Amino acid sequence: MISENKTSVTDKEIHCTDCWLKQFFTGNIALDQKSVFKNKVLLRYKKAESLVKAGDALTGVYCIKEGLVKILKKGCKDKEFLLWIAGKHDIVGLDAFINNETPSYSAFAIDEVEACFIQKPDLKKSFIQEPGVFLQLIKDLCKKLNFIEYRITNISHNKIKENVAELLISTTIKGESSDGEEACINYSVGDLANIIGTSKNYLSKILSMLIKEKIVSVRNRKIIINDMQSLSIIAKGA
Amino acid sequence: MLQITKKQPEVPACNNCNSVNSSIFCVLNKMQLETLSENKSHINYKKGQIIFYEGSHPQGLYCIYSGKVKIHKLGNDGREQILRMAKKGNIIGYRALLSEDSYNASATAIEDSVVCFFPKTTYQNQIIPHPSLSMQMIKLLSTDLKSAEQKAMNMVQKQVRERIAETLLMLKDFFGLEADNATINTVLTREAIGNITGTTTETTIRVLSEFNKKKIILLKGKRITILNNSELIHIANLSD
Repeated sequence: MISENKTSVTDKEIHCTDCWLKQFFTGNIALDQKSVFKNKVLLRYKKAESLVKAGDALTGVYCIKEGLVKILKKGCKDKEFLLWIAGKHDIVGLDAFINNETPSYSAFAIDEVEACFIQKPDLKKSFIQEPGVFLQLIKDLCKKLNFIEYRITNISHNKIKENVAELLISTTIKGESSDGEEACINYSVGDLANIIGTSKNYLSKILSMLIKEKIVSVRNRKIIINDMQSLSIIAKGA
Repeated sequence: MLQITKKQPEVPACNNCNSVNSSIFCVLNKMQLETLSENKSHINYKKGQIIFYEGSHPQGLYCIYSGKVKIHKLGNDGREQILRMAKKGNIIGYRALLSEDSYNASATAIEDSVVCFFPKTTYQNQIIPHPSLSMQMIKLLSTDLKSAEQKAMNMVQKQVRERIAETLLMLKDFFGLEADNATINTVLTREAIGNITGTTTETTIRVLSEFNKKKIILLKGKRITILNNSELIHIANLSD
C-alpha cells in the first residue's frame, strides 16, 4: 500500500513505452503508449523513506526509475538482512504479487528515489495483453533467484575478503555510479557488511587492507575503486 | 551421452500418474494430460548420475517420476553447495527454460531415479501457451525465490548448530518419515548434509554426534531418527 501522505509527481509524465520496457512490447507502440499501465503514478522518495513494509498488503509493484532501494528481511532476533539492492529498472514486489502474499521484506530508499507504482489490475492486464512484458518480468525473477543462489554458494564457500571484493565490483556495476573515470560506491559500511554477513568492524579491517594496497580509496564517504583488475583477482580467490 | 528410452509400460501417461495432483500439471484436464504425454520420454538414472550440468543449455523440462534429486552448485573452492532437493512429482530445470538461459545449477540423482522428459518443443507448444500451467511455473519460481532468500539469510545470521538442526527438520518435512514415524525417509551422507547446510563434513559429523549424544536424534549408519522434535525446533531457532 502507498503511504497516505505520498503524492504523485505531476511535473513529469512517463510512458512505459518510452522506458526500458519499450523493447518488450509486441503490439502497436503508438496505440499502447497511454493504455499500458495507465493508472501508474510516479512517486518520489527521500533517503531512508520506505516504499514497502514487510507484512503490509501490496496493491501493486514498484518500477525504479532513479536511485537505489535496499530490500531488507528481518531474521531471528529481529536482525536485518540485506537481500538485494534494487536500481534503475528493477521491479520491487513482483514475487509477492504473483504469490498473492504480503511481502516478507521491506524496501527503503538509499538515496533520492523515483519509482513508478503500477497497480495490480494494470499488471494483470499486461500479463494477458503483452506477453513480451510478462516474459521480461519472469526473466527478472529468474535473475533474482540466480543471484540469491550465487550468494548462498559464496557465503558458504568464499573467504570474506573474496566476498568483499566481489561485492565492491557488483555494487559498482549495479549503481552505475562513476566519478569521471573512477568507479565509486556510496553505500554505508553497515549495508555492505550486512550483504556478506560479516561485522562492520571486520569489513572496515578488510577495506583498510585494500586501501593500504591502493586497490580502493575513500573520498567524501564514498569508496572509490582504483584497481579493478586486482580486485577481480581477489574476488576469484586467486 | 545418456540413452533416452521411449515410453515404457512402467512409467504411465501423465493422466495416470499418481503424483499428478501434487505436481504443476494438476491444472490440466485428462485430455490435456494425454496430449502432454504423447511426446514425453523417460530416463533411468543411477544414484550419482548427473541429469543436467550447470552452464549447459536446456533441451526440455524434467519431471521426477520416482527417486530423489539434488540441485547443486560448485563453489569457488571446489566444494559443492546443495541449493534444494527434488522428489517425485517435482519439476526441475524449468527456470533455464523460462529465462531462455543456461542452467544456473546442476541436478544429480541421489538415489536410483526415473525422470520424465518433455522436449523443448512440447514446453513451447503445450506448456507455455497454457496460461494456468505457465502461472503454476511462475508461482513455483516465486516460492523458490522466497525459500532461497530465507536460506541465504539463515547462512549469514545463524550458527552452524542451528542450521544443521534446521536442515534435519527440512529433510523430515520434505521427504517425510518412514513407517516408524521417526526416521527421515532419505539416506544422505554427512558430506551431503554439510553441503545443504553450508559447512564442512567434519563440523557436520561433530554436531550430529552431539545431537546423538543428547538423544535428540539417533544415528544408525546413514539413517537419522528424530527422537526429540521440539528440541530440534528449539535449536533451529525457527521463527516462521
